[in-house]
Amino acid sequence: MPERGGDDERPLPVGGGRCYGRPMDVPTEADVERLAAALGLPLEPGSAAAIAENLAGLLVYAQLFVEFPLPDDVEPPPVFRL
Amino acid sequence: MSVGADLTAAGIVDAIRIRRTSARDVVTGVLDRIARRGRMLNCFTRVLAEIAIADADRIDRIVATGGDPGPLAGVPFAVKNLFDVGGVTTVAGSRIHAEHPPAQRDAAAVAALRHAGAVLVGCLNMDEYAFGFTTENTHYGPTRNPHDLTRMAGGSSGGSAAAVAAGLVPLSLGSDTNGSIRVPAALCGVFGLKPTFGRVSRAGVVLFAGSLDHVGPLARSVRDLALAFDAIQGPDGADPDCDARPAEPTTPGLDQGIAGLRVAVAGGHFAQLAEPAAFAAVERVARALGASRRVTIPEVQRARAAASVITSTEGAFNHLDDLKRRAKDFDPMTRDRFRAGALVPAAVYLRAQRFRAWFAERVREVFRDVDVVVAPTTPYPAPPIGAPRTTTVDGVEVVTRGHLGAFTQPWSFVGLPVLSVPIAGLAGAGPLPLGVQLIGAPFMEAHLLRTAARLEAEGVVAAPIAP
Repeated sequence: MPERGGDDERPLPVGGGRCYGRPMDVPTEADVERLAAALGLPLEPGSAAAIAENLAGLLVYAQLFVEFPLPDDVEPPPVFRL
Repeated sequence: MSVGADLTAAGIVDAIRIRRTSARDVVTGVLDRIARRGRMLNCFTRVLAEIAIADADRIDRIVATGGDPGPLAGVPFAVKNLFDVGGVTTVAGSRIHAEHPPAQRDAAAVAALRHAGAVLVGCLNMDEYAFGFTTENTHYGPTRNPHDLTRMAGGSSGGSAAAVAAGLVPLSLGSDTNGSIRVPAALCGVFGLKPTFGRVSRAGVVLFAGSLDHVGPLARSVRDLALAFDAIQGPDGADPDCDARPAEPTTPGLDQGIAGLRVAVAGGHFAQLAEPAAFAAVERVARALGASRRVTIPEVQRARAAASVITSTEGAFNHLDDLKRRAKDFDPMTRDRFRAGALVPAAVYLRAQRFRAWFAERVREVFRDVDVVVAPTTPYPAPPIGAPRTTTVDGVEVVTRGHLGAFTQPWSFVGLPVLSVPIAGLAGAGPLPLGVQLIGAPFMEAHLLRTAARLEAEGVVAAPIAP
């Protein structure tokens, strides 16, 4: 169960847009434990499920812009400026 | 003589300059109000009475000797507790930072207000590390909405909005990453300005998500908001993201009206999934401004998604060391969201930043033909403290807290200036206020303040002290 905080809203389904590669997998508790270990992030027993659910929400979000085709010349600005 | 809670910052300055009152009397009155109402609202986490009285006495001495006490002479203000205040520990809504040593000096925006003569009276409650829209802080307790104590003040600058709405101070500072000035300003019924990205220095502020963070003022009048903004805007070499563009004072042109400004209403995403009262507020503002044109911003849902991923990722890496060493000391409201953000692949984060560059260009195209866009601030009035995780809007289930930022997040994502104006008396909202966003082109805060001043003069928007 994700925490009750702010920016964790699941997006609504959005149509259109090409998908490059297959959609990202829904992360499991085991995925979270492996990723956390690789990062050196200790997890207390029983905490992986809630993190996995929050991460899954972020990856659902991510799918929305990962699948959106961008021109090759669009670069991530090193510092965001208008 | 004593000065009432209903006096604006501008009114206080005038009263002090003509010696109708003293800064000490003003500040003493404010400290008394905080003592009487502050505990119930839980908006202050620290009151700086001794420092405030000493500063007030300094202002009075300047006035007594015929000196210039500054454009905000004797105006009491308070700041979200992520702003450094010299000699005070910056807790940023957390238990972990409460163990840090006191700050060496004031944050740039705090120093600027004090330099302008304003008197700092305390530090205000917030969501831990600014990660939330509600100020339901587990460590320090929830801040209560002055219009209904059972309801949220909004967040993450909830203390900043509640303190102003209740008349405890006429002015406060907050920060805004995805809506954290505008959401609480709307729910508490005050004016809140999120300036252009880079317009106000963030030096001395505990950042949440550095590429999205802004700081700005909240007030009960447009003139007060402009006075505060003019005091804090401008370049600062201590903040690498602060723009080199010189300050452009907005107060002198505040009463110019809106002649020549092209105003449009945001459609599409911004006309969906909100309670009728939120749309009624927009229509009321649009009618007053004679705005009949609608504009549509493309791909707003993807923009929100990218903003959320950038926020979670940058936020997690700001606190990674503490997440590794002492995760148990984080607020349960933020802990697992931060840890999930730490696990987002770098390729996804960079893709979000690339999408952001694309989206910024689409928004820029809209502002070639328009000067001010009108949109709701929140989709509904303040929910109850401890509200269920989801709620239903227009037949669709949404996340109660996250959806509060549905209309604010897309604009801050691309750094545009936004002013949330308060409206009350809307059918379906009861005594609770709502907000309407006025969005402008980069560095065009003056357009927003002029528009808000016109709405205020016509009585369309107002921020009376919560009873």
